[in-house]
Amino acid sequence: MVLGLAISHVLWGTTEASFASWICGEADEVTTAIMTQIRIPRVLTAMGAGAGLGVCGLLLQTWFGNPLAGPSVLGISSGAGMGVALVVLAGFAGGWVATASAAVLGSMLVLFGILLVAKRFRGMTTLLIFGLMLNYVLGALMTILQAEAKQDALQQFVFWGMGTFGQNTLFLAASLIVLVVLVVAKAWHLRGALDAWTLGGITARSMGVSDKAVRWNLLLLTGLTTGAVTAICGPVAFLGLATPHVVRSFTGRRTHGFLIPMTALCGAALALLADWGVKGFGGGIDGWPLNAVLSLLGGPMVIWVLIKRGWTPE
Amino acid sequence: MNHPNYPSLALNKATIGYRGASPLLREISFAWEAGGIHLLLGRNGAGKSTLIRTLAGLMDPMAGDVLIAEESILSLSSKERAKRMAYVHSTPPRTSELKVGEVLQLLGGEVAEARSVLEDFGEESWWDRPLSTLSDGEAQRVMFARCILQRTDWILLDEPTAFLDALARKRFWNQVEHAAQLGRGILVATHDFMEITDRMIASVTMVSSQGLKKLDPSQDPASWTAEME
Repeated sequence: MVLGLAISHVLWGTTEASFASWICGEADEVTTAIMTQIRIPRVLTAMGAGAGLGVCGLLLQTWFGNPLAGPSVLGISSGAGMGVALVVLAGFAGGWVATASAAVLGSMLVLFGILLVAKRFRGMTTLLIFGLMLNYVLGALMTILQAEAKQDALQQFVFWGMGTFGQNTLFLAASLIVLVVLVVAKAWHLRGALDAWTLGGITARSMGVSDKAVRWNLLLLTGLTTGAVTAICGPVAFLGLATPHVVRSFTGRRTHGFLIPMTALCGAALALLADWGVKGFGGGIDGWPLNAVLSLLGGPMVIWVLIKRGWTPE
Repeated sequence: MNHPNYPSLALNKATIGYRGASPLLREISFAWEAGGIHLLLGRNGAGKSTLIRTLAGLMDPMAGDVLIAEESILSLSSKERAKRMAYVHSTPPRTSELKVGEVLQLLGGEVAEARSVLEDFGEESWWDRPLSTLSDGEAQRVMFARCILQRTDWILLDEPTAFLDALARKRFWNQVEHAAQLGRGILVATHDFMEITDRMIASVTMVSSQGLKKLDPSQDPASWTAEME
């Protein structure tokens, strides 16, 4: 229901264009162009990004047993951003394939690093501080790359860095949706193992859950999704972290068989709502930067989670 | 208390410890016959937890083998291994928000069976309660109930009562004794052996840096403590 509402909302935009007339095949060329080249790719991109990042956030929170884990908090988005920065700023050619591959590789490398050292961390604070430091380091590297970059590449990168759902082709948007549907399906397939994992890694293993299999899937699913979303939309903050909490706040059910599809739906809806914030405010053609809107929503959200749970760095 | 139909659990020249550290136990060959409660005693740091984890297949021995019914557990897949032995960790899960009923049905359990085990425990009312709202003692009993539902020949317990108060310990051991009466082999590393009815104790093993040593289960528990020195 939330989803249907949000979709219909976004189908109305700043320029007057009738969705109904387009559907009925009575639209003029301008309307058709607005639909197929702007609005539909934008809606699909937002939904794919929201659903994908939400489910990644849920997977990370379950794996690390940490309610504040998420792709951006842990530096996985930064890893993807670093990949994009290397391609765009250092001037490697190759178009979106190169950018997306570099982003996926970057996010996987960061997550791989986190998984390697996470065993040494006791408690949720350490992991978050690790992610924070990673964000600083990668941010610094990106700043250096920017300082060294050529003017037009720099412009492209800065624009990308603000984040938007609105700069995507129909083909890439549809590909993102396909990817996210596959990721959500695979995550759902792991629901039993993820439920068991909430009892603690060692207990889950004693129940026959293969930690290796779950870990590799986590790396693959989160790396692919975060990489693809970051390459397409820019660094999208907080959606991964916040969405599972929004779902948990309106239901008492905690099985992953329920949480995974709900988080995907809710993430899609949240992304569409945030995009309303982007389009609805601001004087410019592009409205407010997506990342600013998401951080305004997401920051308080984290604080709310901390207050609600009590800060027990156990 | 010998159950010929149940498989024994054995170490075959096993060296036990964490990779990168010096071994806690070297080239141990030892066997436990199934059925009844088998105690694993020893001082803190003697290697009881490491031994239990190795026997449960949750960590590999540095050398040698672990055998269940004369089959190497190292050759079993995680799923196959989980059909042979269950495990309760010393720390109860504190963050899982799954409901007790959901925990008991994890990875393919049946509702009716799960309900009946909870009934046996006299705690039907827990069914819809999130695990995170239970006390440590209650959560540990749920974890033990879950082990029973795993239908294994062996249940391995790693200081399961370490965080429980006296009453919670008593309730926990009652359940363990009940499971042992039904023929499960239970191997437990613990300091709280005084609360276990002595007729249920099938064997007592002392773990120390010198290796494993069988003690007489019919003897006064005070004499076991004396062995630690």
